[in-house]
Amino acid sequence: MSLIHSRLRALGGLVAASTLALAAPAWAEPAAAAPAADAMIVVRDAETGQLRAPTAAEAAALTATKASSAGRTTAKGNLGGGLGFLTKRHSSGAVGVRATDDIASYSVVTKRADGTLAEACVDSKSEAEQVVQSGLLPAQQAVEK
Amino acid sequence: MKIAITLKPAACAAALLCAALSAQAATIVVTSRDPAGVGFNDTTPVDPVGGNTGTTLGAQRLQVYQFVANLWGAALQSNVTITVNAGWEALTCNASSAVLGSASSWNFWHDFQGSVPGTWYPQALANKISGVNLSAGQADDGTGYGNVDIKTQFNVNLGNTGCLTGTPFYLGLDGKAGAKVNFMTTLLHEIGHGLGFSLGLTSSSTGRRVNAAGTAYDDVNGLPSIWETYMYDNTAGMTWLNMTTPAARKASGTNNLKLAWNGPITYAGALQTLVYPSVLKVASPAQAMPSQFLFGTASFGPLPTSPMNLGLVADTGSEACTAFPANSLKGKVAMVNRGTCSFVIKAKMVQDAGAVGAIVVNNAAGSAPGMSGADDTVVIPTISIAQSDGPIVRAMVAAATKFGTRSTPGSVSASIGSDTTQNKAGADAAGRPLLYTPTTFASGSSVSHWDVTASPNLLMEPNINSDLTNSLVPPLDLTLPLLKDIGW
Repeated sequence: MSLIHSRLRALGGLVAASTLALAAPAWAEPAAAAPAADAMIVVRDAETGQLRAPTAAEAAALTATKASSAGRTTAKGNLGGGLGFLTKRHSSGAVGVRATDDIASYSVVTKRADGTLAEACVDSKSEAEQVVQSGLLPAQQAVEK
Repeated sequence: MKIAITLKPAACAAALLCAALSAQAATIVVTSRDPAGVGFNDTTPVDPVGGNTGTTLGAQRLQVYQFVANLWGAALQSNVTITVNAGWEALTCNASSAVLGSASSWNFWHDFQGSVPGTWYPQALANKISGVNLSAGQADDGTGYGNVDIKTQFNVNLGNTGCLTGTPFYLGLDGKAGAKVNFMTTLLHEIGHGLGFSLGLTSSSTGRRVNAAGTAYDDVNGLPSIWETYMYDNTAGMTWLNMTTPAARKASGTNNLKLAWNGPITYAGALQTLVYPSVLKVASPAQAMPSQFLFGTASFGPLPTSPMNLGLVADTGSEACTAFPANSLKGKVAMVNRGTCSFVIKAKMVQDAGAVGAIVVNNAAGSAPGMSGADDTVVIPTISIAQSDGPIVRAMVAAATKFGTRSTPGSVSASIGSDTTQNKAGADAAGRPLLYTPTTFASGSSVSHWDVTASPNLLMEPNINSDLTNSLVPPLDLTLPLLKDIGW
C-alpha cells in the first residue's frame, strides 16, 4: 500500500482540494507543485458528506501532511516484479528505488587448518552462506603444503 | 585538513547512537540500529588497541566506523551529507567460517539534475551530482534507515564459540591485525561498494537491467548502471553500455582477463600504480640471457620485492622436512620439493641450515601455488615455481658446475625482476585495469571488483589481502580514481 494512501486514511477521510494530487497514485505522476499560500482548502465532513471549511485541528493536520508528503519525494510500496524495491519519485522528475539486501556485497572469512585466515567479498547473501557451509572461498587461495 | 567529530543526537532521534563526522570535503553521518547493550551499545570493557582509544567494545566498534568514515570523507567531495546506517547482528557462521558483514547502496536514482539521462546511480553519488538529498521528505519505510545512502551490517558474534571461534574482529586502527580479522580494512572495502564501487542494479550474473520504474528487469528497455559506461570488453570491442542484450553482458562477465575499466581518471592512475609482473630470473654462466619463471609467494617470511637479488642456487633435491647439517646451505637459495610437510617447515629447515632463500618446486601440474602458513621465526623469502619449471632450473644448476673450478663449481644465481614483455599485472594490453571476470561464473564472481592479478594488491579486489594500506589513491590504489570516473 502506498505510504501516501496510508497517511491520508489516517486523517479520517479528509480531502483537501489543494492536495488532490496526493489522492492519486503519486508515484505515477510528476510530484505536485507546492500549493499557493492562499489556496482554498475544504474538507468533506465524515458524517454529512458535505464540503466545508476545515476546523483548526483539521487544517493543522492537512498542513502537516502537505509538508511531509508533497515537499519533495513520494513513494510507493513493493511493486513486485521479483525485485522487491520500494519506488520513489522526486519533484525534479527523478525516479528512485530503495533496494534490498539482495544487492549487497558480503565479506566472508574462512580459517585454514594452520589457523591463518582467508577473506573475500562476494556478491550476494546466498553466495556468502555457501562459503560458510563449504569452507571454500571462491577465488584461488594459497594452499597449506 | 581539519576533521571535526561531532555527536548529533537530535539528527537521529530514532537511533540509539549517532556519530557524525564533518570533513572539509564531505560529511558522513553514521547512525545505528542496534538495540541497547548490542553493537555500538555493548558496554563490555576492553583495553585500547592499535590507536583505538575506546574502552568498551561498542565504543571501539564505533571508533573504527568513525575512522573509516573519516578516510572516505576526506577523499570525497559532496555538499550533501552521506548517510551510513550500521547494525551489529547475528550473521551466518560456524567454528571455522563466517559471514563478516555486508554493505550496499541502499537507494538508487536516475534522471536527476546533472545525471546522464536514463542511467541508474547510487544515491550518495546522485545526491552529490544533483546537489540535493533526493530522499529528503521521503517517509521512512518503517525500518528507521529506509532513506540512507548505505546500509551496513556486521557479525556481532564473531570470535565467540561456534562463530570463527577465538578469532574476533581486530578493532585497532594500525592495520596490525595479526591472526584476527581486520575490521578496518573490511569496512573500508565494503563502504567503497556502498559509495558506488559496484555494478549497482544491473545483475552481474545475468547482465539484466532494471526498468525505469524500478519494478522489474527489462531486457529491452532496462536502464544501465553508470558503471556500464566504463566497462570495456576487449573481445567485443565495446563497453557494456553499448551491448544490446543481457546475454552479451553475461558473456562479458566471464571473459577472463578481457574486461577492463576504461575511465580516463583510473587509466591515468593505473599507469602510476600497476607494475609489470615480477618473475624469478635465473642467470647461468652457460647462457647469455637469464631465464624467467613465474612464481608464487608465501604468507610467511618477507615478500620478495622487485628488483631483488636472492643469491646462488643450491638444489637440495629433497622435500626439506627434516633438518640439514648445520651451515650446509649457508648463503644459498635452497631448491626444495613440495610435499609431505608444510611450506613453513621447509622454509625453517633450510633457514636453519643457513639458507638465505627458498624455492619450492610444485609437485602437481598447474601454476606456481600461493603458500599459506604462519611462523614469525621465518625470516627468509620463500617462493614457489611450477612443476614444469623445476627440471629446467635444475638442469641450469647442473650445467653451470663446469664453468667453475674444481674447488668452486660454477653456479646459477636467482633474482626477482620485472617482465616488461608482458602486460602490467592486472591490466590489459592498453594498460587499462582489469575487472574480475573468472571464466566460470561461480560464487564470488563479480565484475564489481578489480581482477586478482593486480599488483600491487588493491583494496577493491575480491580477496581482502593482508598487505593493504588505507590508501585509496595512486600509486598504491585505484579506488578513488574509479569513483571519480563515475562522477564523484
